[in-house]
Amino acid sequence: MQPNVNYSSHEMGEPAPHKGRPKVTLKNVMKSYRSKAVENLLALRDVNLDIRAGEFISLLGPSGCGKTTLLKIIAGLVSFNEGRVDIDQDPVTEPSPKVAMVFQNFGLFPWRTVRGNVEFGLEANGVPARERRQIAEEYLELVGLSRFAQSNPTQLSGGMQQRVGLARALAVRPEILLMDEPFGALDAHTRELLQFEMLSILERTQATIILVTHSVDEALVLSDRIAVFSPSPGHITEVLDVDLPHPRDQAVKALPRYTAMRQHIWDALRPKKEIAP
Amino acid sequence: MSRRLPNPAWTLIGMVVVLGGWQLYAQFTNPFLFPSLSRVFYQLWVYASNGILFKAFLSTLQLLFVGLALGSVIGIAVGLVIGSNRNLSTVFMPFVQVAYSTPRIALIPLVMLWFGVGFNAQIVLVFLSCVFEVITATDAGVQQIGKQYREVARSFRLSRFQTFVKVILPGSVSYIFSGIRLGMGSAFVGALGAQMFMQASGLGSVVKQAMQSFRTDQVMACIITLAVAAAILMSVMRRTERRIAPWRVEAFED
Amino acid sequence: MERELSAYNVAIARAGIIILWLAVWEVVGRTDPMLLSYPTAVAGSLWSMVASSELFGLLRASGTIFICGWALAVGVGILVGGIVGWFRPARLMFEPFLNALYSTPLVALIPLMVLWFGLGISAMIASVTINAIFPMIIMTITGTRNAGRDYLEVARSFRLGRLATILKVVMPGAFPYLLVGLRLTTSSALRGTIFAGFLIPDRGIGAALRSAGEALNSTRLYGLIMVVIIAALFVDYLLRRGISQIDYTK
Repeated sequence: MQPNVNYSSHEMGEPAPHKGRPKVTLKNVMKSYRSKAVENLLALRDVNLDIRAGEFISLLGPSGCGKTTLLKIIAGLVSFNEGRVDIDQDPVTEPSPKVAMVFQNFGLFPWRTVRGNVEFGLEANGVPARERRQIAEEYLELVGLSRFAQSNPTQLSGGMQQRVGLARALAVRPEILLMDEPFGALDAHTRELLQFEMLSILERTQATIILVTHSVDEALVLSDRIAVFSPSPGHITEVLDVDLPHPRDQAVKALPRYTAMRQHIWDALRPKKEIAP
Repeated sequence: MSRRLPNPAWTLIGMVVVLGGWQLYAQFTNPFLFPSLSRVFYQLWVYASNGILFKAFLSTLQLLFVGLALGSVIGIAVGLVIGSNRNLSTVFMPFVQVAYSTPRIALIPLVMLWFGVGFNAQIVLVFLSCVFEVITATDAGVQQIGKQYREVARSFRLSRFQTFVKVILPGSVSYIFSGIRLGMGSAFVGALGAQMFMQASGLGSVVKQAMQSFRTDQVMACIITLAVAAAILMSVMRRTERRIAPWRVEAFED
Repeated sequence: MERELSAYNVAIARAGIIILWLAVWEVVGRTDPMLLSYPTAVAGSLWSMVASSELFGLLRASGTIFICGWALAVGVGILVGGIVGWFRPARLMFEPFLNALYSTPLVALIPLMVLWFGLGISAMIASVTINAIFPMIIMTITGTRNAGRDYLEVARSFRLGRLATILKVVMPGAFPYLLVGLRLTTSSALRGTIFAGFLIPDRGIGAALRSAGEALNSTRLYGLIMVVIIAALFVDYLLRRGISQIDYTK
């Protein structure tokens, strides 16, 4: 399975066997904004992370800590000021064909049917119509929405719309799947259901998955590793291995290991109080 | 309270109140100032039977349609170009806004000076009356859709052309339609104004003749005709929009 | 995507466009001064209008009519719209008519005002009012209705009396809609003022525009159009300032 090397924020640049070479490398990444209010708003500060092929890693942190910015940097949608961002050792300058993204507000087109939306990425890549349709239907089946292929996305519930978004992203068979708080716009109940559903959907893919979330539970349930962010300016304070058993289901939340990790992360996220000596 | 009666009943009562009230008032005032309902409808009938109504209606409709079509086509084209480029939009939109704020009616003497009083001159006026509405709405649509779907389009690595054709164009359609609807109201006013002051046939000139002959009943008959015409046009517009672009883009609208 | 121009560059671009247009007009205009005139002549004409206080007279005449008509339209419009919007039977009875009237090109009503009020100032004010009042009524109806729908339960849960509800809840709640109505009303009032001036010979800008056109006096005509544009912009500016003072949503 995965090599037993602990990639943490401290061990970098070690020549690893081919199988274990990181899919995505972030090295000393810094991002600042010129905003109207503040001269130089530092969004990300010295971010270092190696993301392994095929793993599911969460970027976890409070609002405004820059985790979404980092995701968009990996997606090639946002530029960065310093450091290196590589996918398979190639620097990222623009959105890579190996990457697909799922958005918090779904980003579906109301002028296309559900199937039309799923086909969108394939269309952009020039896949011929018959093949497109087949693939789209395959993925609609995967997310359980075959029945709604001809419906208008605005007629679907939030959870269903996000599943369409997921199908759309998966349809282009990405090597890396980026998800920006995909359940943020959903109610708590739908969110939980969809989380477990997504796990079983993603089981079928080999993709590397990077999830941005502010929910500790979500990160623990879904991921193999969690990169914990400090509040703005964003910086990875800790990378944890989530050594909870697979397959993950509701029962996993009852495990003592779960509770322990949860507590640990909560402590890590709490603002450090400086006690004067 | 008033919860007993169903809605249609109230509407009926409303009609009775308004029409009855009119008739009553007409009895007690100068019939020249305020003709009775029967006189107005009689006048409508006269208009209709000697073909004036139909011809005038058609003439106004033709002018409106051509001017609006021209204004829409050019308005959409300009709006698409300006909206696609943020710098162009920032620089040029204020000029469009200035044109939008001035009452285009004031340009009638200018249009007459430059283009005379023929059909072409009238079209110019109608065109000017509606084009800026369409430009503004199209620009707003393009910018809004661009902002909303920018990241989605880029994440799928769409070229600029693909983004324009597959995302911006379909997404802007509902904005464009509301712009044309707005433009239609202004165009109608422009058409009427053009027909009133330039040598023209059509409902505008009929109203003017009625006014100059001091025929209140005729003026009112024209107003009713115009009201009906406007209602028909609006409903046609809405139906067309529903056929072509049944979706509504879920975005906040100013 | 593209780099955004700085505010300075934008201002330069806009100024450049205006200067270019004036320059082209000046050069091309001199080749056909009868039809096209040119900026310097127009400026001269405007200046003499200012000096002879003719401009002042025009603005005063049209301005009075505009303000009276506008104020009537807003005041009566809000009142009528408020009543119709608040009482369900009134709304159901009259809304169809109001909607029908609103969608008609309201300038058609101006000849009616002429027949009713003669060719004087009251006809002009009536014309402006009748043009401008319908947007106000319609938007007030919508606003009252929506404010009622959204906030009535809140008011009742705090056991607010009728009058207090109207003053403290419904009116502020309807406010955003009233603002939209105000903008529509103002542009309709401007349009009505000019249109009425075409039909009724008075001392205002509309009549002046018409006579300049008939006399084929292009220079004076262009000057007057400039006045109209600037007046419209000024009214727009005043409206925006006024609104921002009382707007609570920003």
